[in-house]
Formats: sequence, structure tokens, C-alpha cells
Amino acid sequence: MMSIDLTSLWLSFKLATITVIILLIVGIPLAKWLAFSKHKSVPFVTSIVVLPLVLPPTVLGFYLLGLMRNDSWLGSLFIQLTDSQLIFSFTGLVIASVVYSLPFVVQPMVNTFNNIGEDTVKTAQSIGADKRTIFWKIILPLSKKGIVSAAILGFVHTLGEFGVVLMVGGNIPNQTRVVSIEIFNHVENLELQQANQLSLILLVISFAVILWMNFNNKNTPILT
Amino acid sequence: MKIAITSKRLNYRYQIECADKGVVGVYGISGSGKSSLLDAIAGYHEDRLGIVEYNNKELKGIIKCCYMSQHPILFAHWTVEENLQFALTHTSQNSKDKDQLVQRLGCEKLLKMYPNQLSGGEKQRIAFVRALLQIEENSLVLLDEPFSALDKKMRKIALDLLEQYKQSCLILLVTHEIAELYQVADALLYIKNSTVSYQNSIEMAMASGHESLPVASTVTIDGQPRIVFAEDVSIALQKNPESSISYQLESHITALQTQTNVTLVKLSYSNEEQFIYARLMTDSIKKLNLFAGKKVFACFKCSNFMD
Repeated sequence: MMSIDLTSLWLSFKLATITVIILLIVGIPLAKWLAFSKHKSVPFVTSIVVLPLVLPPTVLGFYLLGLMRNDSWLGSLFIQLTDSQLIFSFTGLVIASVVYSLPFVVQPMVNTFNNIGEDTVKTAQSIGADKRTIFWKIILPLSKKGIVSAAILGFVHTLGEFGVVLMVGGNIPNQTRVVSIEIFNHVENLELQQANQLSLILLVISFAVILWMNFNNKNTPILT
Repeated sequence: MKIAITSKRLNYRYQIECADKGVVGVYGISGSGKSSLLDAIAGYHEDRLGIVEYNNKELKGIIKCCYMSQHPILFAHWTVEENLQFALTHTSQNSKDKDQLVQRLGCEKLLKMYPNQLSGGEKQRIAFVRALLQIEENSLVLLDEPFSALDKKMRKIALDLLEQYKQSCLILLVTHEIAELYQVADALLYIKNSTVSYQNSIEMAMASGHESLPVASTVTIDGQPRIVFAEDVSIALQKNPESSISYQLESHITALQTQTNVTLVKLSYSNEEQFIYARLMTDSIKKLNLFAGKKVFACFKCSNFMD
């Protein structure tokens, strides 16, 4: 029993780590664009990014299900490429988590970039630095704390997701049965002691991470 | 330099023509649009319409220039040294020039510090060093109240440095210290309601009496050119050896300009070549019976000039 429990926990950690890595790669350029671009489509894109924040996870999960099912373009492409289905797979879970946690990573990063202020960027431009130098040597280092916060927030949030996982991931041990689903299973089966153990682990981890963040980063808003 | 620009959003309209080298003083009451003029030239306003031409080249967008804003911006994640180093990588000056400037402005002890550890005056000094480091041949230097937090001694050093650099570049200097402008500038822009309400060479501007520009003249005292304001000059009919006022220039009145109860008197001295102005009550003109051509003594204190 104990070994299965740890499997689900490990799976959640793996999912959260991969999700955060992808979100950093996708999120930093996206947040930079949202913060500094004056393009007309910025409010539109911002709204899409923020949508998972307000949408019920079941609704989001339902649409993701439609996107990833075997007869959809993405689902069938995945089957052609890998000979396995996307739906109810770990990969599918990663895609869902990236979408679901996107606002939690991008929003704080946009805030951090905005806090740097146009004046700082303009000063660097006047000095003669090109856009790439400004981004790598000034914007990114000045945003270090904010980006770390965003990554942690994305990580903890992915650890705790339930509704979306249930919709697109199902309940397959070692594949998609993450810790939140496992806790649900235990409660359903009236295995309250196991549910209690796992819940406590998640509670302690989440609290410790957010506490650490608040100690290190007084100025970064935890909730956006 | 030629400027003809407007902005609907910021509601300005600037029309300027001046030489491509030297110091141009920018003066006006606060809120008149001095800073927005510098911002506009630097290219910070996306909605700016019209042209900015410098050295016969049109400047578009955010230009490379030595811009020092009223609240200097240093990069918070770098030490002072690293901040200066960043400027150095984008200029033809080298670290020897940096060391010299750092020493001139007494910033050696600040090099290892971070910007949030600096006082307002220290920040200004560092930002000023950085701006000077950026100067190359034909640079555009935009200084927005760069010395507002510096003490008298530092201001003197800073102004002397500007004199050094002004042969090779164009410096636009915003300041509220009109005496400093008169001393260092070659031309003056008077900004009012976001337009240039007066522009002229510094000699003409000093004598113009335009709006809140105090009338003044340059007098050489102990070999040094000094700015003497008309309101600090009085007129005596005879030399008074029993006065503490040591400057009593023998001169004669060349013109009188009365504005209700105040009269501006233009005096010439040393063979008609030099001029000095006195601003007097019109009653005093009557009392002393002053008229053009009359021989008088122009008196002023010079303790102000002692460093």
C-alpha cells in the first residue's frame, strides 16, 4: 500500500516539474510580449491566458478532452507519431497542466516585467544597448525573484490540480493517477488513514513552499 | 540642430534651431514642459510628430544619447562599478576616462555599492559620470536638472566638466539655477506652456529681460568671468571710498528702460566695450536725475563670487 502511495506522489512531482519547465520556456517570452508589446491583440491574448483562472476545471478539461481525443487532429497526429493515444496518457496530462497552470506562471511574470518600468528599458536603450542585451542582461536579472515565484506558484498549483486531471487523465496507476486523484480514491474507499497521510504531506509541502516564498519575496504578490 | 515636433497627447509644440555644438540652457517654471522636451528629443514619445535633425541627420525613435533624467535611473541589480562598466561597453571612452571622472566627482567609495544604498546626491553623481562617459564626438547630451541634489562645490566641478566636453557635442541642460545657465550656456531656450517662447544666444537672453529671465551681464573680476544680476547693482553719483562695496565701476548710462515703478539702466564701462545693467526703483532715477549719457558709478558686492 505504502509503495503505491509514493508512486502517485512521485508522479505528481514529475508532472509539476515538467510542467514548470515547459511553462518557463513558453511563459517568459509570452509574459515579455504581454508586458512590453503595444500590439492591439495584447488584451485579447491576456484574456485567453487568464481564462483557466476563472473557468471551472471541468469545463477546461472538457475542451481539452475534445482537443486530445483519438479522432481529433491533435489526438490522431499523436497516435501517428507515437503509436499510442494522447488521451489518458502522461503526455496528455502534461499538456493539460501547462494550459491549466499557464496564468499562475505568466501573470506574476507580467507583473514583474511591468514593475521594471519603461524608464529602465528606455535608459538602457539610450545608452545604446540592443534589445537582446536589454532582455538578457537587464530585464531577466531584475526579474529573477519574480520568475522564481512564478515557477514555484506554477509547481504548487500543478501539484494540487484535480478536476482537469480527472477529465483528461483518468485514473491509471503510474500513468495518470497523481496524488490528488489518489487521495480521492482513498476517501471513496473509506481508507481515511492513507488519505490523511497523503493530504498531510501535500499540506506541509505547499505551506513550506509558500512560506519560503513569502520570506524571500516580500514584494511579490502571491495571488494575482 | 533643428527641431519641429508636436504631440497631441502631451500637448506640446516645439520649434528650435541651434548650433550642433555647445551648451543650450533650457529654462522655465516647473510644469512648463522642459522635461518633456528632453524626453521628446530622446525619442521616448511614440506619438511624436515632426522632425528632429542633428548634424544634418534625422533622428527617429529612441536614439543613442547621453540622457540623464531628473530622477536618475541606475540598474538595481548591478553595483555602481557595473553600471558604469555597462555604459563603457557602448562608448569609445575607456576605463581610464572612467577612473578620472569617478575621481573628479569623488565617487571612488561608491563603486562597490548598489544603487539602493546611495543617497539622492550620490545617485546624481554616478548618473552624471555615466552620462559623461557616454559622450563621443557629436553626441547629444540631455541633462534634466542633473545637479539639483549636489552641493555648491560639486556643482562647480560638474559645471567645469561640462565646459570641457562642450566643444565636441551638444548639451541641453535643464536647470533652475539661472546663474549657472548664464555662466555655462551658449544659448538659451525659454519654455512656457509646452512651447519655446523665447530662444536666443546667451548674451542676448541675459539682456532681454524676457518674462522671468533676470537681466544680468558678465563682468570679469580678478580674471574670472562672473555673472552680475541687474538687481544686485546699484548706482552712485560719486565714488564712495567709505563703503564696503569694493566694485564701483566708473561708467556712463547708455539707455534707460522704465516699466512703471522699476527701471532698467544699461551702463557702459571701460571704453564703451563692456556693459552692465542695474535694476532700480523709478523713484531713484528721478531722485538722482539719471539720464542717458550721464557719468555714474555702478556698484555691486562681489562676496558671492568668493569660492
